[in-house]
Amino acid sequence: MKDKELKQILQTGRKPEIDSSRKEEAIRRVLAAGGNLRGMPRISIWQRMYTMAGYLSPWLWIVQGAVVLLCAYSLAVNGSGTMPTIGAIVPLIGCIGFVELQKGYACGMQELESACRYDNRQVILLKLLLIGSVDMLLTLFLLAFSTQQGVGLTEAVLYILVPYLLSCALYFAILLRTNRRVSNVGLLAAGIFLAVMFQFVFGNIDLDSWVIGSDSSRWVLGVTAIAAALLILAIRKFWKRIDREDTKIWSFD
Amino acid sequence: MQEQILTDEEMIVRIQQGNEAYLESLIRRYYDDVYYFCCYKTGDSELAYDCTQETFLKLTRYIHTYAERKKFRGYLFSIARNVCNDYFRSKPQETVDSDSLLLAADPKDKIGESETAQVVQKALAFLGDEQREVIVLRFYCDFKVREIAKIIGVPLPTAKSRLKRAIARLKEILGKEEDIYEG
Amino acid sequence: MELRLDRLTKEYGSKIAVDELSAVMNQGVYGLLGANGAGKTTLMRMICDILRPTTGEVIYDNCNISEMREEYRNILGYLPQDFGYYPNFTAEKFLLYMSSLKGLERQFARQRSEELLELVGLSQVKGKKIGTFSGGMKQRLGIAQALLNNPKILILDEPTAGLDPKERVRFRNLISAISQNKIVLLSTHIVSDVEYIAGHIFVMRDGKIMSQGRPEEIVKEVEGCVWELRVPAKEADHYIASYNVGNLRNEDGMCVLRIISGEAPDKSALQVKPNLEDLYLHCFADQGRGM
Repeated sequence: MKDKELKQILQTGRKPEIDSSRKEEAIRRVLAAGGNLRGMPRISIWQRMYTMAGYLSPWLWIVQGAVVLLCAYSLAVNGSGTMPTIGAIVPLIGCIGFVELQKGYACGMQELESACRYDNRQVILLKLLLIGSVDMLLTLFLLAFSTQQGVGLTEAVLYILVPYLLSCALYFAILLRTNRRVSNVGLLAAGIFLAVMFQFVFGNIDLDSWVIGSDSSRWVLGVTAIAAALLILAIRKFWKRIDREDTKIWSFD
Repeated sequence: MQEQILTDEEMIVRIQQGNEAYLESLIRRYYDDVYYFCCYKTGDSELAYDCTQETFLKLTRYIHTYAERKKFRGYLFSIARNVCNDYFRSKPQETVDSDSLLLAADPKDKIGESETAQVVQKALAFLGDEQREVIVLRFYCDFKVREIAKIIGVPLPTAKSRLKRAIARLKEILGKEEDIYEG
Repeated sequence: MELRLDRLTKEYGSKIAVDELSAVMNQGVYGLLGANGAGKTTLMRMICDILRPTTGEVIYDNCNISEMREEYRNILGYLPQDFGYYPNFTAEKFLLYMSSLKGLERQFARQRSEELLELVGLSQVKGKKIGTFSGGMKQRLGIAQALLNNPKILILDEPTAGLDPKERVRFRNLISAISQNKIVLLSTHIVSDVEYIAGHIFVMRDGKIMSQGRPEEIVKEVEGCVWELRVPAKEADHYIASYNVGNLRNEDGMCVLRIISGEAPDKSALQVKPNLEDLYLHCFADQGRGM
């Protein structure tokens, strides 16, 4: 082959000699000058979410799943008449999620986590994304299931989505107010209080005349939008407060 | 350390995790090859030491952002190429009397091996920078044309034609007449 | 490798926790001595970029750490004074979790966790829940997590709290072994923790550094001020009430008092060579004895 022949000619003679002492010196200098920083391999947020999911308590998913299945069962058995009760139970879905969300604070892990590459803020973000996504899926499942059981979409949104959004906004507000030092018992108490409150509102106020009225969908849309806006506002405030500068949490030595 | 059984990819993962011992292994694995490349590219063995060191210094700085882990050798040589180009620009190019080279119709038959090596080196020096580097990458470093295109940062057809022209020129200088290019 | 603290100040309302503190640290082990309320933990939190200073900067290799952010935390290892844990996590799971937060690749993290559990003597209990651990075991686990990412800067806040004397010796040996090519800053009340391993000591009080230097250098500040006095036991209380007594031991029916004082407490007192503990007691005389 002519290629090989040229190669043979080009490689005539020995390869250049390498002075081993110069080589060692160069390697030594390169390693010394390598820097006092370490590389940070990129880890995508999806990969980090996947990793974080493995460290969340399985009870989170089990209990949330059980609550949703209970609601679905109740709907299947009792029909649309059970919607007010479901609306009262929905706040508990979010409550369970928040117990997991603030576990780092409850267990005193936030200082350790804050000093890591993916710090406390990122831990909270990942948990919010994970738990929030699953919660939304569960809520949407309930919505879809209820419409399939003959419940009108407007009614379903009013009894499922609105309590969920409002309860989550309240939980964020509680975390803010207590500087993330609320106990699990405190959160559960808040969840139960909301359940009772929604039960009262849905059970004692004649929403049927509002919901089934001609402007019901616009009214429900408006209420849902307000609930969503409150939740977004609460998340924003919460996110701003997860900062290194938090004089109320850190006691000084 | 199990450097014999770790691929470049595996070593890079460990280096990026901060295991500096693997960085040394990686440097040792490629030091000689990079030195030879720098030698052939610049034609100056002294300069080649500097270029090689600078290549690995740059590698050490950039390795943590290196994501395309499977083609590390090409990546390393592209760093070496850029380093040599930077250094080489500051050095005057050796002028070669091409007539004297053309008279040696068959250097392998008529002149001894060491003289052949010198003629080859001068022939390479007589090539332009761009042509010389594709010859070195192809025939000394055993890169495929596709890899060469990536190293020098040109489209594949450009790399092919540059190599073809370089080989033709080299043939002319060395006095060979057969078509020896096989893309 | 240089960590520079440039006029760091932290104020909480009218309280100044750290007061215009400046220092430079290079490779080596640094001890931070101070009583409660000296500002050690606040200082360490600022160095770890957990707490933002009111004024001043922390600079690593000519770069402000608050600008470096993730890059800085990537080379940092921190053991807080009181650290929490997820009680249902096993030791191994805890280290893997912390590894994920430190951005370590899973395979490497497993290997590293194994090594560190071995190093701190928790291999046998790696599968047990942290909630079942003793204080000393939790502390050792905390030290292990601080070392996961092979940090260039290691900040340890009261790392020997909860460790028995044998564990403290083990800890000192561990720090000496791993401190090469690192900046290690450890705060403690226990002078002996740093006396033998720290190449440089900071003595901190009321948010300021009162004294700093090599142990043998700063100890000279109390040279000529340390006395040993043998008194009958019934007189000991008088001296304890009147002077800064560093140590008291009974010997042949007499009390031997080690007193830190500018002047001889008694004409029979013998001047002795000072040590770091004497300096500490001298600096914190009005705050009572350190722990």
